[in-house]
Amino acid sequence: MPATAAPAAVKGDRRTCVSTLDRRSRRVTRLEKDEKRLVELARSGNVDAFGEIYECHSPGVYNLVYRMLGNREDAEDVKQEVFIRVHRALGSFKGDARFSTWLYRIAANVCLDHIRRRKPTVSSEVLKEESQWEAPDGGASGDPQRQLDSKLTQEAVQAALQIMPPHYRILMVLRHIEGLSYEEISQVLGCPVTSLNVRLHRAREAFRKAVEPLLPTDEESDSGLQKGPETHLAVY
Amino acid sequence: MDCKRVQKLISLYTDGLLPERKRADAEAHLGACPSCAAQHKRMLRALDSFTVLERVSPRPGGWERLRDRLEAREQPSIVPAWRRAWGWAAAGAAVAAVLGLALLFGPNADRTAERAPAPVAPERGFVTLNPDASLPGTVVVPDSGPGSSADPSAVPTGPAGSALSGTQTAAASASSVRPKRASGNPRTVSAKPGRDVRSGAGQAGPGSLAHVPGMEPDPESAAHVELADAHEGVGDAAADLVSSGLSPLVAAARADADPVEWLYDIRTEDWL
Repeated sequence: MPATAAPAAVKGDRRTCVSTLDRRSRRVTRLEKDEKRLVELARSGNVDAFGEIYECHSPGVYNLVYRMLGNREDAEDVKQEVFIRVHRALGSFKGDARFSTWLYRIAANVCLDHIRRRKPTVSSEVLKEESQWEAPDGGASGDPQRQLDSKLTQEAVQAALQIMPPHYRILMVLRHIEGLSYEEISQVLGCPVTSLNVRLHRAREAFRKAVEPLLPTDEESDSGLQKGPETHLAVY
Repeated sequence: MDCKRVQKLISLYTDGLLPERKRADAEAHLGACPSCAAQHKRMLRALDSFTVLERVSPRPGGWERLRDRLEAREQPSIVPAWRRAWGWAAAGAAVAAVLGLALLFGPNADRTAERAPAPVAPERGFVTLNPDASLPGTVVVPDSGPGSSADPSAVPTGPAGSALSGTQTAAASASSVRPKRASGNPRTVSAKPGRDVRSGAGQAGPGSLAHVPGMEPDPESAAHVELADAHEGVGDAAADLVSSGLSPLVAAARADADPVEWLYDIRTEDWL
């Protein structure tokens, strides 16, 4: 009797799903409680507590900042600036949103502020600066052609992000690199979720137009011809 | 579902956030429309490139560097104190300079005339109503005559108790409020009723017209009228602020925050 068996299976799956979600949400809640306690301690002047917060969030913030700026030195400086501002503003954190969302909001603001102040450069040198990688030696680490493709794709993505307007770039980084949900992005950027759909669509279109000419085509990959970000690009 | 509708929803569709019914509609359209399907495929390929991105890691020792910076910020120092004081002093000087310039060159510079002692009325001077002027609040500013005061802007505009008659005082008071040139000589200027809060323009009702013949026009006074005309472009909001006693530059800044917007946006940190 498939008509009765199917609901039972669905019910069972759902129960498993719910229990998994419960476990996950309990873990998240525990982490958030720990984080809340750390924030309270850091707010009261405990440097070690702030150090723990730093160690926990530093890689994420650095990744976000690096993808926004495309330069390791700038990213290191801006990341430090972000945490200095976080330390200064800990007293104003009300706990309405998650701490990481609040932190990303500060990081996004510092990044956009840095980009505004920085003069736009028209050169591919900035892009080449980051492409300090060694050519695959064809060792045991895998297919060299695949490695090369992967490396070129990474360069193409970073180059495409750099030629995008910053307000689109931050959307792409938050959504596709940091993996934030629509609600979290709206909290980070302070915009309503309803308008986020349209903005994200435009950002994706801008990214597609920027990255398409830079991505290696299938024919190029097969023939060994590679197309990197050699063209002169306006970098924001 | 048409192409335009699908384009609007394609992001939500890509993220799997569309309700089931709309998702089915979008899928049906993408299956039937080669153009939208191709565009969607290209979008997916572009977004797939994110999957190969590796996370970059910060340099080690970041916390030690940050802790040093935080501790350096918390240590008291003499230098920040005087630098902070210098910042406040510089900010104050900038504010004073702007306000001084505004008072010096603004139309409210004729306030000195209001504070000047009332001149003695000319021997042959008399006050008449101007039959040509019919607009409410339209006044005729008396021209200077020989032997009279060289500055016609010194027409008494003070409160009651001035040497001139009540009508003349009211008319002169009205003339001090953002005058607008309406004709040549005698200079007929109009003031918007209800704009003056300083000199009792409410007394200058309809028909409160004055004319003092035999007084020569003064170029300085004409310049004043032109200056006032220049400030006509400030806008009504700024005009209201001007009439409340603010200098025009400050009023313009408060109205559309353009000329000295930076002044209000200064943070103390920027000076340090």
